[in-house]
Amino acid sequence: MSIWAIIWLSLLGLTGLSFVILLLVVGGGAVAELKQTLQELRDSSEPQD
Amino acid sequence: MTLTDTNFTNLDWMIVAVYLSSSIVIGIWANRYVGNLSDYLVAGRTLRIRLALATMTGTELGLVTVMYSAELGFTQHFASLYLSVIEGGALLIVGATGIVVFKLRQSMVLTIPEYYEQRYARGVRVLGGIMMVLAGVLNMGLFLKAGSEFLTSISGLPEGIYLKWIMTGLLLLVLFYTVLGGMVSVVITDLIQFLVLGVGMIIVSLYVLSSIGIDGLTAVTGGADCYLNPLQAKNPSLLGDKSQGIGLLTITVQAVVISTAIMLWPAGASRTLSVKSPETAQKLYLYSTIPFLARRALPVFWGFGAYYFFFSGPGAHLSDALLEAIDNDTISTRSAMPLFLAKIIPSGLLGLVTAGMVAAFMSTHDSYLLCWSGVVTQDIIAPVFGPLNQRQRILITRIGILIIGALLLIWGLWYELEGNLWGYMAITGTIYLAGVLPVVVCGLYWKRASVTGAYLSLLGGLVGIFGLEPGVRLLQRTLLPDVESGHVTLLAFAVSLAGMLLGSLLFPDSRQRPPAAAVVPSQEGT
Repeated sequence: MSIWAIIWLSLLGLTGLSFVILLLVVGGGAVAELKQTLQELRDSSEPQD
Repeated sequence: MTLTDTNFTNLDWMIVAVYLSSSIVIGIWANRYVGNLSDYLVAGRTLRIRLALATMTGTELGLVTVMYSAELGFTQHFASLYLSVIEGGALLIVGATGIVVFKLRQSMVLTIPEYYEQRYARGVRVLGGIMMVLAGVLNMGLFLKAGSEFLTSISGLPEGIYLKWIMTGLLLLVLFYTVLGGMVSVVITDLIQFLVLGVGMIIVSLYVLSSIGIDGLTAVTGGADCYLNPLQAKNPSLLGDKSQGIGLLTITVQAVVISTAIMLWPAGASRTLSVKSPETAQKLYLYSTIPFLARRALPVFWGFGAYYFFFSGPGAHLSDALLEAIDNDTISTRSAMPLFLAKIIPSGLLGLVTAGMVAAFMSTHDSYLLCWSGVVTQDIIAPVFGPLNQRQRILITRIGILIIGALLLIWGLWYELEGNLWGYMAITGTIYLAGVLPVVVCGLYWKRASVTGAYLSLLGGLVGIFGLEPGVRLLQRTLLPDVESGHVTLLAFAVSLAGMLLGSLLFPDSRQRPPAAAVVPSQEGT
């Protein structure tokens, strides 16, 4: 196997693995952040006393 | 087995339909959170890092990205992964240093042309807005076609009859919920799409890997027709003229275009401007390295899988039919990947994957439509025609979305692409990128950058138009027989930079303006 093949296959493997980790880490946290964001938008659109 | 055989069944259509219907419901629901223009365009600047990262990925991991990356994987094999390396490297540098993006977010503008007015003059803002929309609409012009090619190929529908109807249907769907909900609905759908598409991409990659097998991968990467070294300009693929080589000129051009786009492409920049703080903007770039690597690398792998399948694997008996169809232009090289997936992924799962891809299509479209129409309202209509209230601005933005949608449909139906899809994207992007790079970078870091320099720099981007195939042919016939589109792209960047430097030195501003970080933030909606 040539050096280029090794480089590209390693890059693909690392990318796939880190993407799975990212999905797990970001997914759940992002849903919680979305709830916060919507709450803030709702609060800011309500009339102030 | 024939070329158009597919595992896609009515069950898969139902899965896609349920997904699309839920998007419409979200669009209607999100409308209640839109209170003012800031909510509509940048979700009130409330995004935190994880949500911003999910939504940035949702936007930038579009079906068009999947299609052009898979096309490159099919035609240029693993050598095309050099683009992932360039993009990942550029993101790491921007994320680590905060160059440009930190100061841009600090300036509190809603759009990049708004920064032009803050730093230079109102006329620069209007010209910058026009250039941005021109390049952006041209750049988006083939998204619809690529999305429709994916759907027709994967579902086995005849392309000739259904392509136009699918293009129209997809566009209407995106227009519906973008017009209604603005950035709030974009953020919500982007998050769902990030999750659906992310899982879908992993599943597809595993199927492709199992289809090739480790032994097959080792064998095929050792084959004489496998393109691995991007520095080598000759492409040994069996696709002949349909598979372009790479080489040093192409790598240089792509490095310039991609690095600029990472910092200043408007759809990405709108996320920079939507986050809570400049620090979050910088972090967003650093963490985006992974999804940006994945958005190119994984589809390249699928495209490579298609090449293996049709030329060395179980579909090798279809290779002659495929080559003939590609030569006759009845099937494009973009369709190879969906034709391949349609044969290796089982029904049911194929519907989920297709829903993920349609999600990818919509997440890019909605953000881009919102971005360009926001620029039309904020940076072209409002500065030229005087003060507008919030309600008028939202109305004009919505009308802008509809007009741009109609233009996209016309362009998608009319324009015949020569060369590969990514090449087209890079060239049309240059019209904007070549001008914006000196105007923003010099504006942020060079006190002597002047209004005249900014005008010349923006106009210099127009040179990029000659990088499209008709322009290159014209140049080859009249002036330079050996010129390539890569030369024209680099020339556009050089002309814009020269315009900024010469314009600023020869025609300095009458009063010295401070660099952007010291400028008082503009009032939203003024």
